[in-house]
Amino acid sequence: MITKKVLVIDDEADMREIARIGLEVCNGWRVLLAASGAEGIKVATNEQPDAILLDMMMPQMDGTATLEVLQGDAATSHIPVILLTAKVQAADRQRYAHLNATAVVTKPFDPLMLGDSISQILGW
Amino acid sequence: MRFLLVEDDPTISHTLGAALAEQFYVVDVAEDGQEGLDYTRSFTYDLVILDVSLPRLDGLSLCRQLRREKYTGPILLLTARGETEDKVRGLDAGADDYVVKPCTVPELMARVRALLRRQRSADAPVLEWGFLRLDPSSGQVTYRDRPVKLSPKEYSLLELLLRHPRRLFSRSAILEHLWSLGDFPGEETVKAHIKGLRRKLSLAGARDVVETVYGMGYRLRPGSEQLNEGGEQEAGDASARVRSALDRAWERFSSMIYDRLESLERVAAALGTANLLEADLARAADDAHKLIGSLGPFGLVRGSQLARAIESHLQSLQSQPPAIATVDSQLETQLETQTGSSPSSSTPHFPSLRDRPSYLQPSPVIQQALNQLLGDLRREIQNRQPLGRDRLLIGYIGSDPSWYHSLVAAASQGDAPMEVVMLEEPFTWDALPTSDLPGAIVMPWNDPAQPAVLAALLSLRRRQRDLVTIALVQRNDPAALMDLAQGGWDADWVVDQPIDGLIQALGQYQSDRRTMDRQRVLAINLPSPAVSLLRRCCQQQQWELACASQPQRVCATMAASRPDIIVLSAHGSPWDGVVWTRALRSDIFGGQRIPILVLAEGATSTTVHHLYQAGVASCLLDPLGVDPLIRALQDCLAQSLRPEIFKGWISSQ
Repeated sequence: MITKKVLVIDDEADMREIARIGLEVCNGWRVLLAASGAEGIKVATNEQPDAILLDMMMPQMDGTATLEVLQGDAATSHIPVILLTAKVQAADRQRYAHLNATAVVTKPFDPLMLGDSISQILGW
Repeated sequence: MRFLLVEDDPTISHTLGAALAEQFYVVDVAEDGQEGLDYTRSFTYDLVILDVSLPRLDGLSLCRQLRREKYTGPILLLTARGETEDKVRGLDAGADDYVVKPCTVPELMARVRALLRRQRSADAPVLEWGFLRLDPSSGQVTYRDRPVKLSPKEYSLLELLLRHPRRLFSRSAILEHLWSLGDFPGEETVKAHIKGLRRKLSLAGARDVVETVYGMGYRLRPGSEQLNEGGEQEAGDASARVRSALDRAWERFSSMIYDRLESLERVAAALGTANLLEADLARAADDAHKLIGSLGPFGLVRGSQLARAIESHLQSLQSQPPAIATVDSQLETQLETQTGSSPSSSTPHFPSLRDRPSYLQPSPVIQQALNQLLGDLRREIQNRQPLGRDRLLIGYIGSDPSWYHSLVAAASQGDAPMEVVMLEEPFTWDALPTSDLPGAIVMPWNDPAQPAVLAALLSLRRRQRDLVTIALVQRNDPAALMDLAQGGWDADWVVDQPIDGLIQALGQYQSDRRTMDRQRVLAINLPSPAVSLLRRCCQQQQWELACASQPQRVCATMAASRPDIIVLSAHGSPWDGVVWTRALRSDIFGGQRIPILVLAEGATSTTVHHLYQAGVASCLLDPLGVDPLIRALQDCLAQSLRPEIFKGWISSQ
């Protein structure tokens, strides 16, 4: 089993916990958690995770703003970012397609399959 | 595998017997044809090896006789060099192959393996079950290419099961196959070897391969070959752990989810009133959005869908997008038509519809839909079932750790997912989330005065209605039983029950209990108010309900789909509950083992007595509501699922 380090940035505590359970228990990955965009950027810079799961709808600094900072900083721009969103409208999808994120994972997701989806997306 | 070797030359029978035994085959030797025939009539053999020239009854006659007596296993003939005619006659007599004497042992073994292989549908020289492989030519067993070291008997057991992958073997059948005439082991020996085999396979990673069919025997667990492929067994374990972890997370986060639901309900109630601000609406839409993401992973997939629909409605009220504008325009048109004005009139009769925000003037269609969705969502959340309920948590209460260790060992060998935990005083169930509550309690009853324990168990039963409680009581200690009964513990008890049997019974119970998620209820001859009530119960529990009144229809319904429970009325014409119960217990209806719940409001004590005498599981004498009826149905179902082993049921209810 490949051990990976994944950062989950989500303002909702239950969603952070669900992602942590899925990735830690099923995949044995180390999961870092951040409750806001600002906190996430700090953790990403210091911990250099292998991937970031980023919730799009957050107060203050939302997913789009967080992604811009992550991609604009040489310390984090190489880290693949997967967007988490419950938005499924075509217009939203189109908007996300222009954000230059690696992929979009739609909520609700199956915590048992989350790690497999990430592995597939990132070729792990 | 057990073979019969019919050979009158002691040198040959000794050499061949020893060579076969080295390959873990069990060999009985008969010295003449008649003895060989007698043996085959008394025992089951997987292969018969015959010499052609035999005293009393020659090999060819024996071969013909065996085929006449429907022996279907392979027969291998041993013929002398040059006796071509013998070979032909032997094959014509029903033999499957021949070996010319003197033959080498490797050649004979190769023939034996080939013959056994032909018995299997698959033609593979190596016996396989997923990643588990047994190579009869080398006597090697491997799992995922790693060797599994087995004792000779464990090896033979595994080979027997692998050669007949769909067959169920009773212990006596296994004894017959794997032990020779000189040995007289008891059935306990088979059990011990099965246990050893399971433990060694499990240590190698091949878990749950051998299944115990309670009261019947052993077989390869159907589907376990797939489970053990591709590491899916490991995935299965992880999945159980994830489900348990999610259940624990639900306990922590459900209050947050209820807060979001209540916020949505408040906004829906305030729609159209001046108390509602646009900001409240925006917050409610956010709450719905968050519920979309969080409900699904907790097993509430429909809840996520409902939340999405709610979000969409709330957003439409917020921003008045074209879709909703259309609804409102249609409404206006309708109203205008009703008031006789021209729809194309440029002067609106209801200027407020356009001037005021739509959340202050929501269309009745939207409002009704929203309320309906919220009602459904609340029900979904309230009825959430724990995801990890298929694991049975067994709590052990007692100061003697040896019982605890036996339980742990037995549970790890059992087929059902179980976990044994030692519970220590004080027992504070209230602090535990539902997913962490034990489903069974086992307790050696050696201390009659344990009021604290009894109180704790009663409080646990209040939260865990289908809890199984087991007291381990020595058979030679009837006084302890009296103490137990007097103590008011409404428990099952087990007298001197071996722990293995107990764990097996609990495993069976657990697997049956899982089926409680989708029950079939048959209502017979119920008055319409009772049917409506029952229908509401079934809708809430997502159980199937069928109704029938005429005997023919009842018979047909029961034959088409066996109900899990029958609900009757005590009263009725022309047949009352007693008559129905007696009839249902007959072979014609086939309802002997289906629990019957009787709605007996207003019934006399004599009627109730007759009902119980006829064999009903429970009578409800009080007027009913949905919740008490659901509880009564669940209790009846839970009781009916109890394994036979839990016969000593003392119930104060």
